[in-house]
Amino acid sequence: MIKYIIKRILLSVLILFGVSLIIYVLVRVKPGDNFVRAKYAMQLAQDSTGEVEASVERMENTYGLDVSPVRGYFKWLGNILQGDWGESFIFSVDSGKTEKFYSLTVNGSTEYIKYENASEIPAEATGTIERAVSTKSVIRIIYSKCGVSFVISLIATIFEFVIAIPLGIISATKQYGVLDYSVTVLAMMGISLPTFFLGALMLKIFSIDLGWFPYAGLLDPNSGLPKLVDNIHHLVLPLMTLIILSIGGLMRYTRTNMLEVLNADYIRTARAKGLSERSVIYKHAFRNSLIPIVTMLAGILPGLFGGAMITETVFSIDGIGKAAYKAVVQGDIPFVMAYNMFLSVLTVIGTLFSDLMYAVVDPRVKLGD
Amino acid sequence: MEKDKRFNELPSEPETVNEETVLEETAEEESLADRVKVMSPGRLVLKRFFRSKLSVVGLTMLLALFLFSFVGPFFSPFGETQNAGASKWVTSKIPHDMVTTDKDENGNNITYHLLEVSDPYQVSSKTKPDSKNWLGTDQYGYDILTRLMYGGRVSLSLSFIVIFAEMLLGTVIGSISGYFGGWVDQIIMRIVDIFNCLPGLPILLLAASLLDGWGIPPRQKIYWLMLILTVFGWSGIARLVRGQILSLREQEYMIAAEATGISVRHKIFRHLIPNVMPQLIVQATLGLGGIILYEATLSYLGLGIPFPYAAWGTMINSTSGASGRDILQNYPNLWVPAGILIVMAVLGFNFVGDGLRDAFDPKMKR
Repeated sequence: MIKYIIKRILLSVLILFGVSLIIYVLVRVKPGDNFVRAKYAMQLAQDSTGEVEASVERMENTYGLDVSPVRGYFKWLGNILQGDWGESFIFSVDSGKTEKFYSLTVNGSTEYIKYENASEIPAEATGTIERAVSTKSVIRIIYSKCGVSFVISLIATIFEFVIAIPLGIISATKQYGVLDYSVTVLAMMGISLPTFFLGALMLKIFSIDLGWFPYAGLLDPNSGLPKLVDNIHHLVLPLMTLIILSIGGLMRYTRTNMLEVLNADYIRTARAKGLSERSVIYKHAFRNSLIPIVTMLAGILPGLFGGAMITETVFSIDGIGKAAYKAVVQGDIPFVMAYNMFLSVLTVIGTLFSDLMYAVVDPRVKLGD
Repeated sequence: MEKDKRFNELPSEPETVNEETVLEETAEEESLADRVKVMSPGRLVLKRFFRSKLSVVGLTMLLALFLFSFVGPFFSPFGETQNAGASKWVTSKIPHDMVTTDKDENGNNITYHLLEVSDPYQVSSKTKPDSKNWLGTDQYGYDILTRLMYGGRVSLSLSFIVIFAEMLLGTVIGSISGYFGGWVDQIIMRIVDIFNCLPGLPILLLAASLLDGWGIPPRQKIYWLMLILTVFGWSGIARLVRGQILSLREQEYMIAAEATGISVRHKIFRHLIPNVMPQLIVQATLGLGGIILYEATLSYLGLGIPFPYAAWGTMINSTSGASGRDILQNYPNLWVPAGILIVMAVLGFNFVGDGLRDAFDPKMKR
């Protein structure tokens, strides 16, 4: 077991190396355009004090953009191995730290000055103010934007399982019945709906026409509701969208597994023993049909943290999915790299976990080499 | 079905028999053939496929979509990028007609009418459905129904070409990996792992945004999109083919094939691949829906088929952006039909794929 896990982890490192290489090549293939835009953004952001040239140079150097893509990749790799994921071109978040400024009154006007050393502080400096420091660190940005995406995905996933599994079971026990057909058709429609179309329909019906739910964002200062209630109010539509989209897949998966279990010999034995249909289905069949589902549970990891790109964009939720979309479009190389690697690591871990879970749940499964 | 099988497997006539027995045998065979209808496996699959209501519904939906997209434009009076109202300038009298009269140099009376001449572009953009434009016109003044047809052409042909390319690539790579095993298999499967691990939508976005950066002309963009979707989509099929071939390789008939001493190419393409075909066809049919969704999503995000060409996703894109709320609220004819068509296409492929899977499955009794 331990040997198997170690082997898998080593393989995962190899896979992640390949993944990062592909992503890096993709973001670097047109350094001109992506980078020119980033440079332009920096030039706009900063005043023309001659700092621009220096900072652009510094940026090029930091991200290895001043060298060829191959060397740039290894430079990036070296940086992340040291824990430096770089700074985003376009985002910045509150770092949680504050800086102290001393107010100094010179010739009747007040200036706020920051001092590095306590010894430099002049005696006439009077009051102090604290200002929040923003950071562009990619890791901090991902960390701060992940929260809302995670909450949304978690709630949606819980609803998904609570609704889809019973539906799948019922549908399987009444195979080819009216209920089975209608549930199957509904599930298929859920699978076939494009996210952005369902989102637009939701907005049209429930937000614009009926006016039950807000149009965008997460918080409306004018709503007069407590913050948490307002948040939930804003989240209803995106949640419904995510749940409708995901229910179909899981429901059909449950149904297929349940059908397979119901055809097994031990179910026939249980029926032959004269057990009630109820106990055959819910005690014998249901538990066994859970095996593949528990396995799947570990595989939803990237979905939980990775955010829902389209849903967040449609409903203007400031989560990680929307940020990633913006970063891709605007060519924010460090963020795109970090986000995609984040997802890939989660995928690798999720696959490993689901393979391990398989052995844990089903004792017949032995993990080979 | 069971009966048919047994019937097919009846031992053929023994070689040394007298005439009478041969006659008897044939007579009996005829009477059996009268009672039991012989069906080829293909016919059986078709029969089971058409017995399922959902697959027939799916097939009908797809046929309707194909007719709509590929034949429909011949009956439309408008073109894909033709302004539906641009045929003539519309002049109308101003309500309170300001008539001025004057005399020309010969002393005749001339009446001047003040007429309003409307910009055709203005007139025809975002009109409501009427008898001329059945679904109205979009924000550029194009006929929506016609645009939907051309969008269907793009989505359907793109998805078929991509799935065909994916199948080709996946089958070749997967069968090589499964047949040879050993280090070849190891290397290929690690590459497949890498492609499986790439986050789907972000990578497609990234690749599609490169096309913008390279300044690919709009007309060529669809071919590049096909390439991108294929490159990031073949790995699933390769994995499926490899798994199937690994198990098929161990079967008795392959040992027999080995014994006849045929070439490797023949073993793979004559004996192994045809046996993977049913699963491949099912996978491909289900995959078609996924490709349509990806293409629509890319177009929705403005990275797919570019303006002025029509794509279903692009038409829904009008609901985002500055005038999005207005279009959501007042112009459902601009985006709802496109969405319904996407759902129809994906649903159709899913229904047919499911029906095919059940039909190919010999364990299914219905």
